[in-house]
Amino acid sequence: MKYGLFMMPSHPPERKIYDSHQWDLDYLQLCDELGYELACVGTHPFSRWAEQDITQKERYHLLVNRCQWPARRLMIFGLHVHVGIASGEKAIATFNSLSTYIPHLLALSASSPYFEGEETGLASCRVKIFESLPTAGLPYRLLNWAEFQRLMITLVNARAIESVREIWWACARTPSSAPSRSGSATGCRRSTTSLP
Amino acid sequence: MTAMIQALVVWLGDQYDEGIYLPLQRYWIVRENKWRAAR
Repeated sequence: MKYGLFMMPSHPPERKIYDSHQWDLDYLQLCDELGYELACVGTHPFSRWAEQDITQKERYHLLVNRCQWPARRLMIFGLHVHVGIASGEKAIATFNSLSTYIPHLLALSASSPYFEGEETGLASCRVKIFESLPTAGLPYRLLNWAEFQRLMITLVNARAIESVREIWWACARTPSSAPSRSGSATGCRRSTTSLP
Repeated sequence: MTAMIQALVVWLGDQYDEGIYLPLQRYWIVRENKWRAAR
């Protein structure tokens, strides 16, 4: 039997990028010396989601309140990749086309065969858990930036979402400093990151 | 994975800038492929 240490490669916002990276390296080196194996997973293999405390952030509690069971089950981890794109129209065209590759990216990064102590028989059960949220999964195919804006305004006005930050499609566009993002990978871990 | 995703976006974005039509896969093919990848 091999032992593992569960950690998330996330850092407090005040920690600088270099320090964060160094912290991870030091940590990994220490784990190496102790004989731990390196693995990365998109789900916690045996914890029970019903027993987990939810981070004390208003945003998370609003989400759980709104979505209920699908949101409470989210004992999952994924990689978000943010890519800035110069214009809204270009972002829509690029991401409509990029969605073709979501299955490929998922196949390469699938790493969540276990959930709640059960062997699910799936390469990525994370993606099946995540896509049960109303604003996750495969994205709608949108005609242009105007349609995207219309969709967002409609969802916000209907109180289906609080803001565009609650759209977690396998690839999504978000207006602001980070116009687009793609997060279709589940916890894969080669050296540092995590995908589904 | 990060590098591959960023490279894909740049590759598609360059084609967009050159006026090349970006191909779209049929939605049902993407959906079926996504299931197969998860399985």
